[in-house]
Amino acid sequence: MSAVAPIFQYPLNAGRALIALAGLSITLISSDLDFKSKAAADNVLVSVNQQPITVQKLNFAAQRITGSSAEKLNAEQKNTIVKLLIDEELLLQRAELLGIASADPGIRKALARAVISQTVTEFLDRPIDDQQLQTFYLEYRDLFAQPLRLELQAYKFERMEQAQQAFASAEIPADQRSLLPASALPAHMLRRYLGNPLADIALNLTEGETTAPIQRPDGIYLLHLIAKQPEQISPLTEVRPQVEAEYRRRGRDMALQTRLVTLRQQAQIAVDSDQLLGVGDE
Amino acid sequence: MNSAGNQTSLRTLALGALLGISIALAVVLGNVSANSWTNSNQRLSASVIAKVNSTEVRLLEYQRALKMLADDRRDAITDLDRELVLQRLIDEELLIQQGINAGLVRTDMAVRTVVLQSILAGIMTEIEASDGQEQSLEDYLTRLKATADIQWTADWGKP
Repeated sequence: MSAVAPIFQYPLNAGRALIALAGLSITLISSDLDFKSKAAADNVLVSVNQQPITVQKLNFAAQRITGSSAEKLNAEQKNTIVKLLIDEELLLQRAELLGIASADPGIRKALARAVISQTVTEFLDRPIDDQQLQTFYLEYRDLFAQPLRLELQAYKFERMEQAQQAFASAEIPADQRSLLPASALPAHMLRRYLGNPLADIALNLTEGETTAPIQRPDGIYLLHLIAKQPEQISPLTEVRPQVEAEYRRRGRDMALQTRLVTLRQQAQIAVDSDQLLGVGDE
Repeated sequence: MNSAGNQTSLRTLALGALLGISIALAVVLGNVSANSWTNSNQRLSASVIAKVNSTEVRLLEYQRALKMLADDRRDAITDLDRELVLQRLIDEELLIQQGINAGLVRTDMAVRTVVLQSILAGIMTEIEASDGQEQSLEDYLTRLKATADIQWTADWGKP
């Protein structure tokens, strides 16, 4: 008897059977093997009420349970695994008969997720055509632009005289440090550091310009613009990874949307509008 | 098939799941027109708000989803909100039907596992409640096999 055989000794009671079947299922769940039932008829080992159990399914189960393919197992071991697959198939058919798949909340959730995942995977598996990517880039070029950035210094004073003196002498006192990092910042970062009113003023400065003291509720400010880096449109070659990522993200959503639109068109959907608008008013 | 506690948990789980899927769909389908999802307006029974193919969307389910939305909002629920909530429920039902029709109960491992767990849990409850009439899962499977058409084609597998 091989090492795997005891695992599949037929359950002597319900508890063991439950564990065995659940164990197989949990073993199977983490696999990435495509478990499609499109196997050719010559791959069918056994049919259970016309549902085929194929060589692929056997291999898949054998691989996961024993770590090797079914070819390396003897007939008895393979037979044990197939019998377990038959039991699973019978249980699945029983579940179908009882309508469990459409009634159990957990299964409904898993089904909806699986369809969404399948739709998304189908889209992501398609290679991106260069022409498609170019068209997408041209349509959404602004998304990939390097935004306007300002290299700005901002100083805060407690008293107006200090600010006026610094402004008049064009010299910042040695103990004053800029509120901003030395690197150039995009507008949204300036707004975060300075707030909207000061950021708006900064965005209108010209290079080398210093504002007059600006009175704000929390102090007096001087802004000095060192340099302004205008918005730059990056060529596709430079931003290709970002463009591809955005293309996939939008395409994924679009694929799901398209799938749902198709499903809606193919379905018979009836709505009781009177109930729809009457609910929730109480 | 489940105990009352389990059923309550399942209901809570279902509600959470529904909201989760609805939110995902809402994000994805934010720009779908509110009236693009129905192709018939008709009077349904008092406990039903919509019908998707042959499956009914229960009024209670819709009310729960609507309440969840209302609890999450400061403003009053609008007619558009009502339509969108129902649209999400219908979309969810469409996805589920598509999953069943596409055979995902067998081919998708996550779904397959949940289905098997659910049916096994039900059977175990049945066995426990049968006062010894049902002896084990093995008996249950034996009875299923007795009425099933099982055809072996592999030589080594024939019982």
